[in-house]
Amino acid sequence: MIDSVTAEIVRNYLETVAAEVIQTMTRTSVSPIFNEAHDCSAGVFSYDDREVSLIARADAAPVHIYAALSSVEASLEFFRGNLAQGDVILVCDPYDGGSHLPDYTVVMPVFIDGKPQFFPSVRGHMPDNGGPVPGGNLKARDIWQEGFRFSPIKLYERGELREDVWEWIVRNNRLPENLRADLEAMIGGCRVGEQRIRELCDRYGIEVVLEAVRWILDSSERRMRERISAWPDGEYAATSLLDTDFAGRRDLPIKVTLRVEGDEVTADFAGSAEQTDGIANSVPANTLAFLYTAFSALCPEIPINSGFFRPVRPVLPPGTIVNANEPAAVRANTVTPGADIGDVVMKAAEGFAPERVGTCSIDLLGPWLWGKDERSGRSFLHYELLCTPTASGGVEGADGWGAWPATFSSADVPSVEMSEVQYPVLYKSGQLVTDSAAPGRWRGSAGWETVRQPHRAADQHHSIRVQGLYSPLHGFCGGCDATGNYVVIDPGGERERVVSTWTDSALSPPDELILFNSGGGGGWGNPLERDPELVRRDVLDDLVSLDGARWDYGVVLDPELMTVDPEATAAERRRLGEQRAGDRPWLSLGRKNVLERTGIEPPSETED
Amino acid sequence: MTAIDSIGLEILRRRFEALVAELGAVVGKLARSTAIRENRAYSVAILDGHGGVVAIDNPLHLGLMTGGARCALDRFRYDMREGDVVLLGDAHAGGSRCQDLMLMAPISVDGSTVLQIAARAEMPDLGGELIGSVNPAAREVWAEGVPVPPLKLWREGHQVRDVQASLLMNTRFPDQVEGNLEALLAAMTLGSGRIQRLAADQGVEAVLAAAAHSQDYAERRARALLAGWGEGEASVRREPAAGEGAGPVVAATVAIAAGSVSVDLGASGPELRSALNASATSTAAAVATAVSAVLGPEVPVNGGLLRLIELRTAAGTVVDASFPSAVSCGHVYLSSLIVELVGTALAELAGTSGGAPACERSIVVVRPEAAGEQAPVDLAPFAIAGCSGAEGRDGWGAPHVFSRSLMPSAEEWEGQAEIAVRGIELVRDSAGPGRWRGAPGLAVELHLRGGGEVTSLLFGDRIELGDTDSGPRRLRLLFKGGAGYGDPRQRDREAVRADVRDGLVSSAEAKAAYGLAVEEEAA
Repeated sequence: MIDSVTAEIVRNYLETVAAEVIQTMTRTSVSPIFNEAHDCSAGVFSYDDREVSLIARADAAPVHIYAALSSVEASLEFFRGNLAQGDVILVCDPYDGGSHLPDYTVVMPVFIDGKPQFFPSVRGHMPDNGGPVPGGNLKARDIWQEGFRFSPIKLYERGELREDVWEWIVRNNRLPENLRADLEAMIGGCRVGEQRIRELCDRYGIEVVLEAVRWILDSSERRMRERISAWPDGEYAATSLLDTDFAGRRDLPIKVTLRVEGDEVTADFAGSAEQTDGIANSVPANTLAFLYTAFSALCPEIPINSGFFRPVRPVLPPGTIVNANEPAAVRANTVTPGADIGDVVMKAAEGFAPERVGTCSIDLLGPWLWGKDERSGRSFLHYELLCTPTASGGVEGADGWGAWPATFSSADVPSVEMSEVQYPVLYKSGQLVTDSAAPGRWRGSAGWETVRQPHRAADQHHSIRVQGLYSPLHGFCGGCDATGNYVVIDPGGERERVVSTWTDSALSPPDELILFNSGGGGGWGNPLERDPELVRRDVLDDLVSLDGARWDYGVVLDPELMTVDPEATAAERRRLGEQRAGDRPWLSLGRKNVLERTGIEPPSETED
Repeated sequence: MTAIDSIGLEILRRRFEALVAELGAVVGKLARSTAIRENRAYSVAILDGHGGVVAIDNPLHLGLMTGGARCALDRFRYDMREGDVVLLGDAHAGGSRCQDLMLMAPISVDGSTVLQIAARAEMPDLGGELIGSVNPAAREVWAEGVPVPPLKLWREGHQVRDVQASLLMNTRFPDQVEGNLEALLAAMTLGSGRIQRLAADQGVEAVLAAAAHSQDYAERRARALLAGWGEGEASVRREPAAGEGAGPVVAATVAIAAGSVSVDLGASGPELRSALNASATSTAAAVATAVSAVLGPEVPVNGGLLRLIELRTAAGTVVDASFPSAVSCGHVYLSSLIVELVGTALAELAGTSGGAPACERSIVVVRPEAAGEQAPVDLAPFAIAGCSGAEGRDGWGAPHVFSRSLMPSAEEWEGQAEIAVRGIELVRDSAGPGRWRGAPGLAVELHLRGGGEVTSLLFGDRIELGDTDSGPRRLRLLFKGGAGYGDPRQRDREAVRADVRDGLVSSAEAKAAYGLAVEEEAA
């Protein structure tokens, strides 16, 4: 029996291995989406002849690394009886171990004592994967319209490079040099991981390491079961609405019922929308990734690994938007409906763990821009994360701040300067928007507005996708929903038009300005209970206007002295409290501003 | 081993030809998809170690097979072992379109490679934007499908499972593609065995000598004919309208000199941002077809024939599109145009009287709604019109270079494709007048059950879409007739009268075009 100190040392060692794997990868990759934005993650998996387990992860966008578990399982399944030391496997297909086609996962078996016992793995979101449209086909109606597919495929076999397979993969990519280099970087990361795992086994002996792995998994499972037992038994349901499937359907419900029974939770997605004709379909690997994301955010004190997931039983009805049947298109699923899946699980958890809930998702504000960079004469494809950096929500004890919620914080906001060097674009402005933070006792992060302009780009075409305008990310425990994402082309100009769902066209004129508004995350708790001093600080920081302080928080400030008027505030809060207790829905000032700016009609109350 | 004499070599040459014909029949019978079984869009060939075609069952594929084999050999020349099978289907690397897949395998005797055997066929789909992988709106090859550069599909007798599985994931009709590839492999395996037996009987040296002889013989025959043609040069150009925007410009300078045929397509227009481009291999194949058509049936169609041809194209033009330009429509359409343009110019220079060897071919692909997730149907097999007249004979049916397609049986189509064939008839006054008139045009009326989509690129042909009372969509295809040859007024009067009696020529046309008086006709 291993002692817990040794087991913890092994656990932390493996976490460090995962970190070193992803550091190696991001520092040697060539695409900005990896070396700047970190849209990738690494994990270390183990295999005990029966099942694959995630034992450590790093830089881990959960959507990547929890889903990579399925990639390792698919690799083992496909190459059963045909796996050897020196093999390097690549996985991408959503119906064969992947999430959506551009997420490429490298899986490397590490043989010890003649058995594949560990798998360092890196998953990254490739900027392109062939198919009819650069960077992803918004209008796809089946999986073949989304690009090149492959089963788990060996890039190396017994250490030997499979040149013909590489040629096939890079032939089906618009950025073949990047792809080649990025794959090398991913493989390089895994090789470093292998080396470290062998060093670990040399030091402690494989038996001790395997015992530690069992301990790590069992320990997380035990702690998770204890946590669930502490939650009151019952059924907790919630619904999120997906604005659009990009194919004509609107307000698609994602439903979950969390059944807490003893030390287990069933997450049943029955009642979710039927799968769509468009690209907003999830597959199990991706749905589970967001389900686990929400639970990992609910239990930050427990080390995340497969043991942690054992007490969570998913029910994913086939043919629905959370578990679409082949050959449905799935391009958008890692955010749409992924984000809604994470958000709805969190919303349902409000019923049993109110002190632990908060926004754990991001919602889509996805701009792709491509064409020819006149500075170099080369084609470019700009998939930017710079304009969509705010979705962090309030939680008990802390306001939302910074960029993405904690669960996604491994992704970086790329630097404006580097983006301007790498792509033919200019950023005219980037700013936090007054009154855009979802009000709450603990408010969400403020919305972020970017204005961008193409610069020395020819033949450009852009494809913009927006979600979370009609039904933004939830607020929790009385906190307000996020204010909503939107895009405006030619803001304030003669040709101004609002993009509320998606657009796909050439820009005209070619240097037309585009404004992106990323609406932040949800608030937590009743805004009328927010400490007036915190409201005052937000006013001083220009995050909340004087009107907003009164409208959202019932806080009355002296406009000259900027001090809180306690009596007026108490009266205003009483008045607002009574007003809001009635049936009349109220909108936060920021949400009201967004609705006025975009002129949209949100759907009526969610039917539960 | 005994030295083989010229009669022995010629017998072996004929055996190669008989063998590929047999293997072709095997593919035709075993394959799963209609395009192969009826449209006969496939070929099987025996090749030498340099990609020279020794024998091929489908003369239209001579250039395609050669291009594919050279590409595969370039890639795997030093890594082709017994039991290996190379797969390829990449327009910009020795191919024509994504869905035209080719397999090639070495034929080994006593552990060393003697010859190669290869087969290629059109698959019903290889991914991309549209079911069927023919996408007129495509600008890049990835919008058409998944290009497959040379890959080992089998290694030393074992299927490479991940490559096979991945390939099948990229088609909307994995069962058909798998079945088609099995049919190709079956024919190749049978062919390899036959060649190995031949080598055992006759000796490897004899087989190799016969492979060389086959091509030398074709070359010799061709050069002999060429010597009788005289020398000359002609420039031809075609700029067809192709929907909106700029169309393709094909310009050729064809010359016969010093015992060879040179075709310079370098002045053709720039490649288009549409699918109306042809790959270098497609173009080379079309030129080979044109030359072979003008040479006539006396010259065996194999690698020897290609030795006569000096082809020049310029990269980045519509006939030599650069990666990743789209090519799914150019392969059919531009190929037919090049065959016609180059073939006609060459025939005139040569003073032969074969008429136009081809005509521009439209693309009409339909997908009846009622067919559900079935592959779309290429209506090319109905296009049995367009043959021009030639010295000594009227045109009939399709130009002979396209005549490999079988006329589909109406009953079989109705059963398979959810298409009801309501009428097929010759169109009066549609044949080009001439001393030897062209083939009459053809009107085909089809009903698509439950409606359906039609994708078309038309060149001289027409389609009419309408609705019927009972629901199905009515599709009328009007295929153009062939061109005439010689002065119509010199046409045999009795032949004109016979055409009038047959309803092919109206009285008015008989008078206007042929100068046959109505009263004479009445008498």
